Parts: sequence; C-alpha cells; structure tokens
Amino acid sequence: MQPRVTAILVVRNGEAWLERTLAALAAQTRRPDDFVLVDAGSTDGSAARLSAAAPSRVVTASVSSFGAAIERGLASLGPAETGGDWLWLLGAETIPEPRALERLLAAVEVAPSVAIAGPKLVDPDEASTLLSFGESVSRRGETVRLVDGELDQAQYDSDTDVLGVSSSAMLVRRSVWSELGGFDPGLPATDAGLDFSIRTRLAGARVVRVPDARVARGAAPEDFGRRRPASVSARFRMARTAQLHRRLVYAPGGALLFHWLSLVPAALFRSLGHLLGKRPGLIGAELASGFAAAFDGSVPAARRRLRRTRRIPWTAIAPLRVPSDELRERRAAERERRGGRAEEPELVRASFFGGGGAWIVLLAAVISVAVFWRLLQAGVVRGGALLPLGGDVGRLWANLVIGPREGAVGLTGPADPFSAVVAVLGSLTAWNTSHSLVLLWLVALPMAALGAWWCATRLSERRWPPLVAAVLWMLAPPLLAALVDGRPAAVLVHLGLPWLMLAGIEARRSWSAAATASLLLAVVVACAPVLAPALAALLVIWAVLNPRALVRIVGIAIPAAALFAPLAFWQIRHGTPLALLADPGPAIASAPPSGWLLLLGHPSASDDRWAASGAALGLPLGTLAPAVLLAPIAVVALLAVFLPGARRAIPALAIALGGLVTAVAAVHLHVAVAGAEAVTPWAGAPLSLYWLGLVGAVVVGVDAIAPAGVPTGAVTLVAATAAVLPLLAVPLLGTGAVQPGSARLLPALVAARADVDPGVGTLILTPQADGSLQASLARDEGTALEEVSTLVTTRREVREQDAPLAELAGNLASRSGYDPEPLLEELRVAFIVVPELPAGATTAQTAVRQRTSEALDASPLLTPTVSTPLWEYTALDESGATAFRPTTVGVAVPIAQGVVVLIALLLAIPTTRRRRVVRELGPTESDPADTFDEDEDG
Amino acid sequence: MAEPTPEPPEDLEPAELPAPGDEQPARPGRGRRAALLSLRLVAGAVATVAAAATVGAVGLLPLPTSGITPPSVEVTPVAADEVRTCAGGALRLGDETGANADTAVAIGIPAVRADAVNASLQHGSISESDAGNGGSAAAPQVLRIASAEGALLTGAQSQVVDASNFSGFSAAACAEPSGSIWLTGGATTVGRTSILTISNPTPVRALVSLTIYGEQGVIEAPGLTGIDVAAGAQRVLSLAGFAPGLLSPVVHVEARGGQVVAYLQQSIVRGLDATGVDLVDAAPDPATELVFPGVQIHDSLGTSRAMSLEDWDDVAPVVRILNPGTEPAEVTVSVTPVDAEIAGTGFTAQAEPGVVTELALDSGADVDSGVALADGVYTVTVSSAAPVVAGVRTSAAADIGPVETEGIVPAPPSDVAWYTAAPALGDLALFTVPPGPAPVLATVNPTDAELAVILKRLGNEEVTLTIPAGGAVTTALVAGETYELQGATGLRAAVSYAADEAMAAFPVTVARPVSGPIVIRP
Repeated sequence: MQPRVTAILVVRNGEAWLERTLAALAAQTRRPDDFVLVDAGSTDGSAARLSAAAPSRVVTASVSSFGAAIERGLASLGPAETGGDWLWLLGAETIPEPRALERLLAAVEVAPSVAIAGPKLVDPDEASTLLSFGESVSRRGETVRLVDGELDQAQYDSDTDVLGVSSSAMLVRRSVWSELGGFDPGLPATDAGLDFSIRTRLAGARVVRVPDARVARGAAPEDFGRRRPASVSARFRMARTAQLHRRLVYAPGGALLFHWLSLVPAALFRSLGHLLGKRPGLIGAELASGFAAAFDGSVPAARRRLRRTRRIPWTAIAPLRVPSDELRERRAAERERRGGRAEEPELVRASFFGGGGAWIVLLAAVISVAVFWRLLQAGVVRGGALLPLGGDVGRLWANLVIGPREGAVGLTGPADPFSAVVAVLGSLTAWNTSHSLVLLWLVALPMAALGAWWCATRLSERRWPPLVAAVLWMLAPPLLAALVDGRPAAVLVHLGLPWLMLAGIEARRSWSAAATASLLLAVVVACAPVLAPALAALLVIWAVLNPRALVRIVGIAIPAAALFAPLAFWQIRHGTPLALLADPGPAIASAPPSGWLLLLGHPSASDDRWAASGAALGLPLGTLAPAVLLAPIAVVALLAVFLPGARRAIPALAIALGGLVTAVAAVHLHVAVAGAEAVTPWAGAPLSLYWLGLVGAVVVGVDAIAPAGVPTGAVTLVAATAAVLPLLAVPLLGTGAVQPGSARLLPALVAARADVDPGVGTLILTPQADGSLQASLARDEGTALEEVSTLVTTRREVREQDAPLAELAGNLASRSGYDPEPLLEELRVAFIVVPELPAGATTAQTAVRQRTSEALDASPLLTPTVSTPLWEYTALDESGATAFRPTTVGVAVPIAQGVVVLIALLLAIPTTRRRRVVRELGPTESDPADTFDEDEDG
Repeated sequence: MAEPTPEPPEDLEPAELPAPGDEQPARPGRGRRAALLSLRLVAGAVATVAAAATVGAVGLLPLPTSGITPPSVEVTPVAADEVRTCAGGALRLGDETGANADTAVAIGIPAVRADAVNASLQHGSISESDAGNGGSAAAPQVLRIASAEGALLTGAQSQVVDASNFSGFSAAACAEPSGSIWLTGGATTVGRTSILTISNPTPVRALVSLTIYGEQGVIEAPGLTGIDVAAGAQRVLSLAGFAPGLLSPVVHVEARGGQVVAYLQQSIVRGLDATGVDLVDAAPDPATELVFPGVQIHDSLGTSRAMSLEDWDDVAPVVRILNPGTEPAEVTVSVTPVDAEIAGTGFTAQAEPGVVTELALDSGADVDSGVALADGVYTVTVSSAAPVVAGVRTSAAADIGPVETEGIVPAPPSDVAWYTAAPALGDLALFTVPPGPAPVLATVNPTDAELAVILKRLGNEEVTLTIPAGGAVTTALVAGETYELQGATGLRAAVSYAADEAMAAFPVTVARPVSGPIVIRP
C-alpha cells in the first residue's frame, strides 16, 4: 500500500523564499497526498501569497514557533486514516529538489523501524555545500551538527543511522508524531528536531538521514520567522537555552536538583571563560540563557512526556552520541577552518634579541644604575611628590573605600583612582610598600626603553628606528624631569604611554589588546587626569577611523570611566568639575614654564638645568642650549611628513599636538592648592604624550630615509642626549629634591602613639611664603601617598567644618588667652608639628614660624619635645576614638570598580595564538609591502 | 630624497589625503609618481606651516592663568593677659664676709612702682628663687592685667644699695616675658661682678640656653644650654661662671617652653671700694638703627680725672656693639647733645661678625679741652649696614681734684649706668618713674616730621612736648609718678637719672604687639 504523505508548510514572514518553495513542491515527482499551508502570523506578503496559492488549505495560526504551527496545521486535518501516514515538515525557506520526497519515502519504505528521515540540507545558492546532514549530542549534551558547511563529496553517504536530524524538511511518521506529542514547546527555536529525534529513538524507532534526498535550506531553524539572521549572541543564547532545557528534561530525577542549582553558577563561570576566550559579547546571552533555563516552566511537562514514551534505556542510544575525543577533533578542525588569525598578515618587526632591543634595554639599565646609584641601597625615596606609602598592604586597599579623606576635617568622599594604582604598586613590594617607588625609579629608564622599542616596531620594520625611539623615549626631558622632581605619577604615565598606543592600535582587531589598552588607559588617566580630554579625543578619532571595531575601541574607556565615576560624581555635585583635572598625590607648586620650555619638553622652569649650568659658566644657555640640541628631532619629525610613511607620521604629529595643547592649557589652569599657592596640573604627563608623538614621527622619518637613517638617527640621538645631560647630572650628584629618605611621615613619637591609640591626630602647621599658616590634620602615622586626596587639595573655599581647625590653628600660633583643650579633644589632636622651613624661605615665613613656635612653647597644655619641632598634647583622652564604619555604598562602589577592572584583566590575558612574527628588515634593505597599512585595511 | 630608490606601489599611501587620485590603479607611471610627489610636498608644506604656527603660538602668545585662589581665613586670636616682671632686689654673691661665694643673696628691697590704665592691676611675685627670696618683697614682682582695648600696663623699680663692697643706684623697667632676650652690658674682669637673673612668670617650664659673646667671639662653656627655669621661678647665674675675665660680654638668652624675663646686674668694686651698681635692661632684637635717648654725661671732669686712677679706666663712656651676623658691618655712631650749645661727635667703625666691639663714646671728638663730651644729655644713634645689638655705658665720678700725691687715694663717689636702645613707641605709651634723683624723660624723634606729644601725669596736669624732626627734648619728671604719652607714634623715649652716686636709666617700652590676626589656610 502506498503510504499517505501530508506536507505541512509553515510560513512566517517567508516572502523571500515562498515562491520558490511552492514551485518546488509543485514539481515533486512524488506529490504529497495532502498539504496544509500554515500562516504563522506573517506580517509581510506571505499570507496573501499563500491564499493565492491554495486558499482552501491555509490555516492561520498566531503562534511563533515552528512546532506549534505544525500542531495547528495537523489539527485542521482529520484523524489519521492508517498507521502508515507520514508528515513532511516544511518551512517557507526549505526548497526541496524534485525527487526529494520520493527518495525520502523510498528510504523509509524499506525499513519499517524508521520513524524519521532527514534529507541533506544544502545551500540554496551552492547545492554542493552541505548545511546540515544529521545531528547528535556530545557526552555533556551539547548539540553537535554532524555536518556544518562542508563540501558534499559523498563522504557521509555511507552512514545513515544518526541520533537526530534537523527539523527542516523532516519526514516523520504521523503515528509517532502523535504519540510523542510533537516538538517540545520548550524548544521553540533550535534543537526541536534533535530533541524529537532523540525521543523517537528512546521510543524504540530509528532515525535516518537520506543521502540522495536534497533540500535547499535558505535559513536555519533558529532564524524561523526572522527577517534577517539572528546575531551571533542571539544564536548562542538560543543554543545554550535549548541545551539547558534538554539537560533538565533528560536528567535523571535524582540529578535534577543538582542541575537546577548549578545553572546560574555555571553561567557565571562560563562567563569568565568567555572573557578569557575573548568573546565578551556572549556573556549577556550566557547569563540570559542560564536564568531562562532556571525559570523554564515547560520542563515538567516535557519530562512527563519523555517518561511516558521512553521504551528503551539511554544506554541503547549512547553509541550514537559523539565521543569526547572525536568532539575535540571536530572542534580543532573547525578552528583551523575558521582560523581567526590565520588570514591576518604576518607581523614584520625586529626581533628583541637579534634586533638590538635587548641591548638597548641593557644599556638603559646600566645608565639607570649609574645615575641613580644613590637609590640602590635605599629602602624609601623621598622628595617632591614622593611620599612613603602606608606600611600595611591591607590599609592600602582599605583606603579605597568611600570615607573620610585625610587632611581636612569632615571631608568624606571617594579615593582618587591613583590611590588604587599606588595600592597595586605597594602590594608588589609587600615587604616594604614604599620600596616599590625606589624600584620604579631604578627601572624607569630600562622600562621606558623597552616600551618605546616595542611600540616603535609597529611603526617601522627596520632594526634601527626602534633603537632611536628607545633612546629618545628613555632620555625624554619629561621623564627625566619627573624622576628629578619626584613625580611618580608622571613616571608611570611615561612608562605606560607606549604600551597604551601599541595596545590601542591592536585594539581594532583583538579583544585582548582592547582590554589591555583599557587597563593601561585607566592607569594613565588615574596618574594624570589632565590627559583625559586629549586621550578621549584620540580614542574617538580612532574609533571613527575603525567603525568595524567601534565597540571595542570605545570600550577602552570603560575601566577608566568606572574608576573616575565616583570622583566625578562627587566633584560635579560640589560644582567643581575642573578639579577632576588635578594631579593626584600631594599638590606641589612648580615654577611655571615658558611656552618655549614646553616646546622643549620641559615641564617647569626649574627643569631647565641649562640655565643654572650656563649661569655658572657665565653664558645664557637656558632654553637656548636645549633648543639647539633638540632641533634635530623637530627636523626629522617634520621631514617624515614629506617622505613615504607620512600616513603614520601625520597621526604621530597629531598626538604630539594633542599633548602640547594639553600641556599649554594645563600650566595656565589653577586647579589645586598647596598652602598659599595655587597649583596647576604638572605639565610632565602631557609633555610625555607630546614627546610620544614626536618620537613616533622621528621613527617614521628615520625609517623613510633608509640609506641615511643611521647617520640621521645617530646625530639626533647624540644631540638629544647632550640636551638632557644637566638633568641626568642632578640625581648623579644628588643635588635634586629626590633623595633616599625615611619611611616616617611624622616623628617616631607620633607613630608610637598611633599604635596604641588609632585615629590620633597631628596638626601640621606649615608656614607659607606669604606669612600665612597652612593647617592640616593628619591621622595616625601621617598622610601617606595613597591617602592624599584631590578632594582635599582642590578645595576652593573654607568650609564650615574647616572653621574649628582654623580657629585652633590661629590661636595655637598666637600668644593668646585661648583655651585649646576643647577643640584638641574634639578633633583628637595629640601632636602639633611645625615643619622645618625649606631653603630660601621668606622673611614672612620665618617670622610666622617663630611666632608659632614661641606660642606653642608658651602653651601650658603642650609639652615641647627637644629634638624635633613637635609638641604633644599629653592629656588627650585615649578612649575618645570612634572607629570609622564604612557605608554599604562606600564598600560596594570600589568593589564594583574592582569587578570592572577584573573583567578587563580577564579579557586582557592573551589566550589565543599570537600573530606570526617574521624577521625585520635590515637597515638598508629596500621597502617591502607595508604591513601596517595592510593591517589597517584588514 | 626618496627619489633615488624606486618606490613600490604599496608605499604610495593613497588614503592619507582625500585626494581625487585615490582610486587610480596602482601602476607606477611617471605621471602618477609626479602627482604623488606633489601631494607629499603639499602635505609636508601644510604640516610645516602648522608646526611653525603652533610653535609660534605656544612660544609667543601670552595666556592668562585662571582657576582657583587658595582659600584662607583670618583668625584673630583671643587676647592673652599682659604681664610685666620686674628684676627683683639687688643680689650679691656670698654674704658680708665673702663666704659662700657661689650663693646669691638678696640685699635690700627695691622700690617698685606699677600702674595700669583701663584695667585692674594684679600684683604677684616670683615664688621661687635661687636667691632664696621667693615670694618676698625682694623677689621679682609680677604685674598682670587682662588684655583689653586701650589697656596699658607699666612698672619699674629702683634701688639704692649702700652695703660694704656693694653700693650704687639701679633702676630698670619691668619687662614683658619673651623667648629671645639680648643683654648688652656687664663685665667679668676682676672686681666686676655680673649676675644674670632669669625669671619665668609663665605657667610653663622654660628651657633656657645662653649665647655669650665676648671680645674674642662666642664663649664655649658647659652649662650654657638646657637651663631649666621652672614655672614661676627665678634662676640666678654668675656670668663669670661661664666666662671669667670678659671685658665686654653680650648675652643672648633664648627660652623654649615658657617665656622669661632676664636682667644682668653689674656691680663694681675697685680695690676695696664699691663704686657702682646697675641693672641692664633687655635690648631690642638686632636692628640696623638703634637709638639711645637720654644718655647722661655727668661730672665729665671728675670722670676723666678718675680715669687716671688704678683700675678706674672703665668709667669712660663707651658704646658696645655686637654684630651677630656672619658678614662684617660698618657701623656709624653719632652722639648728639639735646642742648644745641654743646658739641656732639660721631665716628664710624667696623663691627666684625660674632665679636663684641667696644668703642669710647668720644672716639670721634677732639680732646683739646681734656674733656671730650661736656656734661649734658645726649642721644646716641647707632646705624649699621647689618643688624646689630648695642649698649651704651656712662659713669659718674665726683671730682676729687687733680691726683698728685702717691699713696692711697680715696675713691670718688661714683656709679655706673647702662643705656638700652629704646623701641619706637605707638600712639599711646605708659611709663612710671620709680624713686631716684632728678629723673628726666628724654624723647627723641627720629622721624621726618615734627611730633607734638602730650605728656600726661596720671591724675594730674598734662603738657605738650614739641619734638622737631630728628630732634630730642628732655623733660624733668616727678619721681614716684606715672605718665602717659599720647600721640607718640615713632617716638623713642627713656627715663634717666644722674647724680654723682646715682646713675641709671631705662627705656620707655611698649608691649610687644599682641599676636595680631593670622591668616590660616585650613
């Protein structure tokens, strides 16, 4: 007897394919005996087209899933006439070849045990490409497409028994369909066919694939009803949701609770994996599918259905699953085929050892040791903005909690992002937190050389230009000025900028590089907030130039933004947004540089050491000598614009311009206060950016004039080295501010008291040049580097809470009849320090110090100590301390920031294969293809 | 310079500028190369011009600096009590018999006069003293008033002593405690006894250190630092204990902790005759201009005759100068009589750093008459290129006629006086005149304008003194009375006594400015 075949064609917005499908159906050699057209809520012209084709057979169903639409279509038919009835499940996008049904039927007719037959699903445009031909699951239940986009060479034709087939163009025995209850409503999008096949297998029937039946498939089952294919993450979410649904349905009752409980943890854990695997776009889908599965109401019904229909044990179908080793092989093959980086051009650059990079770093290390020999034995380095760090690593991190900021009374707010940088630094040398700064000073030159060399290898494929870059960068006036003047933040910026540029350039193609750039940007901006506008502008330009990597490049700003968000909120709420630009760390006024000095990369007038050297020789060398000696850099940088490579030189000069404009703006904007002096952001960090651009252009220039590159580079290097010799001499001779020092911020007596009486305060009265007196309040051992807050240094006015401190300080500094006891108790001040005057103190400064010391001496409440200018208020009540209790928000905010940074960190860890590196060009070899430019196109 | 090497097409970088030639096929041709070369030249020229403009703008454009100004708050301190502490009774080392020479013994009780205006005066005294007279009337008196607007306090003491080996007249103003006191006077040569008294009227223990300068420089001796003066106590120290045989000491007393009042009491015994006592008042801090009003030359004939006696050479009037700096300074001393009819004198000298220079007051005068400076009241002015401290000493000795015979000559009645530079006064000043012979107020106007000062005897009549610019006036005072000076801004004044056996003087001082408002930057 001929079996009766009912074709059910489900259409949901399938206008694009419908015409071809209907024609293909009509052209079948074995016509279906009956067919139903289901319009599943189309909103395009599909419905009209269906009505035109066969109005009497159109069923309109307002359902969205393929399986539900089939059920509606079935319902419109009468009951099955015989047990041999077959259903052929078609969608608008499945275009069967003329003999498809005939061959499907031929396959099932010879084997009565077969309940499902699936055709070869091929590409509608290229019939020899197999899209799907059988499906299976791995040991862990993941869907495995046995074939996925392979050329059909009949390689799968011999093996017809499979675990499952796709729902598209599936031929299924109608009795089985009814018995198993059709597709699982819990699998609306994907895996419906696979799940149905597995249940069929468990019911004791067979599932086969039919090699000679071919159906073109225009869209995957998960794209059913979609106008355009689902995105990668949506596809992933559907697949993962389906897998979790099946897991809950298939799991034995005993393991169900375990599976359910593990859903959300697993989602979180797998999210970390996505981060490490550089697939951050899938995290949302992963979490969504985890939660969807956890609250999946269709599981109990599905489990009941499975229990009712299962006749054979799971072990019976185990051989049809894909074994783990085979799965690994498949995955490896697939990676090879996709080969994310395989298409990328090779990276041509000098090798670190053969190309001289190692030698230049070694040279830098030797210079560093020779120049900073005084620090070799030092445990702590002091001077300028170099303060010791708090001794305890735990306290370094606890300081990040939103709470009272040290130095002012009753000032509560978030810590500077720089405090987090300091905490990381201090944790690196946990045995002596302050030692990290000594090491920073010692490794600054070699690290600068290394970073510049590495970054320059992306600009030039030759051996010589990166070496020029390394020397110019490590002997950059802004770096040496930062080292001489004691500006740790600026040193970190200088070391970080080349790597930031390198990672930023790579960010257009790599998640790992983008995350690295984001972390470096966060560090650089935390160290020098004044760079934020310039770097943001560069980032926007870079994103516009690379629209395909827009998200990645814009995302670089996220960790920096997260770190600054609480501070920005605080400052903007207090109406002082400009204060965000203030340098972190202690505010220290520096002599304002002239515009000429800024052009020469000197951040402050005092850094023009040629002026002093020249004065000693009786020559007006200041500004002029460095200008002459640094001129070759300007010449080569400008020359680069005229030569091949201008495409790289122009952006480099644009970076230089950004840095220069920032530096000029910075030195004209008072944002912080140091006693009686208004303080601008230090120009060193912007000048590092400026220098970065100049060095970049020089590298391009030296690269472009290849035959003359070596002599040109040598002249530039010699002149630039001569220009900074007076700066290098400062640490060598030990005449600068930076010196080995003590880890103590306040006299030992204070530290001893703080040990037994935490929170004890020390009032520091610093005479100012104008005869005023700065009063600040330090707690415990003193205000360590990480405890300095820009909230304190950028205050614009005397707040209400400052009044008692001012009253106390003013009276203590005067011969007065004032009784300081109540305020000393209220502010918990046990010590008063009047620091020694700096060299070159004014008369007014000396006078106010004299007045203050005499008045303090004359106070019967205070006990002077002989050795240091320190007075002790011995009567302070020890039990008066009230420990600070952070608020929930105060703790949650830094933790959230930490999570953002951690995510970036996980994303930054390189897990994929690096680009292949090939040998660099020699100094005189002729130009090959410029890979940098090819990169930009790729 | 790129031309010598043929350029592969990849290097042409068509995308660097939005030039119309972008889409041209990359076939190296003469025309295309020329186009690219010109493109590069244009780009380079634009970049060069932009760079030059940037450099010019950065280097030459003056930009205003804006932003925040450092916040500050002016704090006016709560006023403290005003305190004066007097010197206390005369002290002698050892008793009548000369035994116990290391113990100071008080002899007699000084006459203390004190007054206050617009405030109620509280009397007290130093409670403990090395001289064993703590709390008694012979102890240094402590005068105190609550500080208030217009409140003035003054006090002074005088004492006539006529004991064996201790005789003379001394007078001194009661002084305000301070952390830094310069005392210019005394000597520790044979027969000259200099006793340093340090009183601490504050409630805080004071740690005192001394710096003693002599004609050879700074004296090094043990015990100069860490001198503990308990709150409310007086220490008595013999200068000879630190620096014996010193002709011309200058003592700098520095106190940490409590503030102190220090005096130097000099007594002279020539041979067996006690011939003079004086109290050296605190001198002002080193300054470049010092004015000594009311320096009295008394019995100039007798004094110059006495000088020829053995051990009487220090009756000559001298000025003692210390340059505490590190560079030598040229010092000009002018001795100007108040009475225009007598001749003044003046001279310059070099003050070596760290060394005390003592010069005869009449160094610049011609000595035809045998007497350089005639009797009268003089103003001594010391001007120096560098800040110096100075003191002036004069002595009186009765004329005993020409000394002709060999043998023991009876000592003439004599006394010594140390003058201290007077500070510039404010609008109001108060001074009191302790008992003594012929007290005179000498006022000097070193300013450029004539001063009309009202001198008002408290509870009595007032007179107006007109002092021409750069001039001086002397006015006789009534002993035991208190006077107020009004409109005295810039004036220097001193009270001096002169008699054969009673020479003394003290300057009219003002309270050091109470701690004024101070700018605090919290």
